[in-house]
Amino acid sequence: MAADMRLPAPRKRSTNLPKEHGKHLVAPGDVITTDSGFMRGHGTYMDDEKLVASVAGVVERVNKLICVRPLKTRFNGEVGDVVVGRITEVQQKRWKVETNSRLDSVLLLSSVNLPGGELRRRSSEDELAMREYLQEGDLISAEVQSVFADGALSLHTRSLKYGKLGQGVLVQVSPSLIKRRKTHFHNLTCGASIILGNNGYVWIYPTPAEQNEEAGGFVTNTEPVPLSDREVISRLRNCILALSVHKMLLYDTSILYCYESAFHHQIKDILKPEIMEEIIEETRRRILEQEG
Amino acid sequence: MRFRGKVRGFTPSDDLRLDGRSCEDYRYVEVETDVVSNTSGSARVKLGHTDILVGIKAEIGRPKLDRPDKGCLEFFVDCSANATPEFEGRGGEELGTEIANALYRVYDNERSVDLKSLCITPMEHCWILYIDVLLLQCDGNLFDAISLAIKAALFSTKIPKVQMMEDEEGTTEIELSDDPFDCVRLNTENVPCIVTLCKIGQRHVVDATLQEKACSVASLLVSVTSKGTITCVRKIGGGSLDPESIYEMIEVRPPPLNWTQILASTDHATGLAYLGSCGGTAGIAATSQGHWSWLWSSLDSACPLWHLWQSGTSLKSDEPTRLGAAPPSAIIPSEWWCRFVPLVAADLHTWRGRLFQDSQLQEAVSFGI
Repeated sequence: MAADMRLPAPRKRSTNLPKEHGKHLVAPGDVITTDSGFMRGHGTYMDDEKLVASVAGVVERVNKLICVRPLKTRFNGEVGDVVVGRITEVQQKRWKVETNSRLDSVLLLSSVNLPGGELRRRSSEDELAMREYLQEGDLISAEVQSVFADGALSLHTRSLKYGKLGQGVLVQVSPSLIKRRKTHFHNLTCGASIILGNNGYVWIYPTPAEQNEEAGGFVTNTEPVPLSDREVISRLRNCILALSVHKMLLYDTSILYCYESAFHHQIKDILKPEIMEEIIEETRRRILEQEG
Repeated sequence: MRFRGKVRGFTPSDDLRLDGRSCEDYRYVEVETDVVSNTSGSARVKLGHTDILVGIKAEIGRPKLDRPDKGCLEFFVDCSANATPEFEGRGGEELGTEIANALYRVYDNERSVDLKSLCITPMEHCWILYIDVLLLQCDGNLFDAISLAIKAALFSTKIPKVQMMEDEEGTTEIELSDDPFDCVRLNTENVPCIVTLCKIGQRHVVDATLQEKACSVASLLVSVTSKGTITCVRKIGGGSLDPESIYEMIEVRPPPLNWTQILASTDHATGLAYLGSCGGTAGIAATSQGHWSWLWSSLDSACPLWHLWQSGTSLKSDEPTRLGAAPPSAIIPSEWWCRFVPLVAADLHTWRGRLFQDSQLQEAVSFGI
């Protein structure tokens, strides 16, 4: 039994961070500009003649429009984003999915793949059998099809790579830390697979042995996962938490570098502050080398 | 948000949790004392994301009527609305009272905090320690963190020295010394710490996070001092616990059993009785015509472990897990204590209602050997 007790230590600021050129960071109450020719966008308000920021984030300027994009925010979905969500309600002909956004997203019955064919007409029997496919508490991966007028997202799982998620680990990070890439489904070389949802939900799961295309998205594998896979998944989970604590962007390369730096530590030690800093320093260095 | 926890593949041979810890590992803890300036003692504990702040104020008051020569501890637990959205408004009151009641039970023990030292004048004045617990952030394992914080706060508590002055009219006045550093510190060696064991699948885990708590059916709360004395055992949660698994949970690290043999005196039924201690837990096992019965143990009388043996279940003497590998011998343990638990045994009915005090049992021991 190990119990590690210590006195709290002040958090260290990383001194060798690369200077961010051209990024105008503001805090709530900071004056952005006093020029009155700009239109004000999200995250700003007018105070006398000055344009003041109301959230902490980065100032973005598009021609005459100034808005502030906050660093810590709820997920604002756009068409084509991959999300990982949890079913909260089963309603008539649709499911409500929680995706870390301001409103629960909607997954219509007509947007899922039902066994029996792609273009089958949805009958009333399908409606009554909705709970057999997805229940409250299930995790799904889906793509954003459209955005409703009130800002709610409409999801679809109309591809075989989306659907109900089986055994794995969910890690919740801030949505702004997920880097937008071409693909969000990765089979990492360390022995696990990962889905980086744009909404900040990261799903780590053991790589399926063979890709069974016929099963569709609703059959989950409940075989016990072997210990070696579970160790890889736990280590990845701790690495992702370490990266998110240090506010580093999450994408497959950064996660892989972090995993390799953390490989010779014990899995539970990765979350200790001093070891976390060491691992993140090395990861940062390797990423800079690779980019520069 | 509530989600159903499904447990699969948590086999006894693997010892790996979600964050890589083994079943008996704690997350790293940060402890800080003397954080609040206008209290007699304070502490802050961070266990993972669980954040607890404890402040202790010492006030002079009247002692309780049934304990005229002792001070007392008063607990108040405040679940701040910042901890989780469920604590908004009055949502946290229920949890707060549940925790406060558990704390009263845990610390209500002569041996944990020396309450006699808090007495100024018997029946008139005593120190009352008001212990306020504030939950700043909730990430599972509240009881452990709270007990750590209380122990640290009691350690840092400074109680001013008082002097009783008699006036000419006969009224007594209490005088506190002017020097702020002239104070008494409490002895916190025997203050218990709470260990919460959550049952998940077939195993039990220590220091469960919120996710692990959602998957567990029931938990066992054991408060134990550094010497191994158990002051309180409590079961929380809606699920049921097998008595076998409770025994397994408590014996997380089984120390060797020392047994002392006493002979039954004439006013008891036939048979031999063995008094043994395991750390600070003492127990009496008796045999009558080769059938063993575990009559009594110094755990809390409401502990379900006791109920297992209440019905007179036979216990074979060659079961090493229960009686220990060593045969009964005349080893007298250095520290043991007894508490009264009503004894019910089918064949040893005359043991019922016997009160064992320290002195009585010592006599019996010296008489028998």
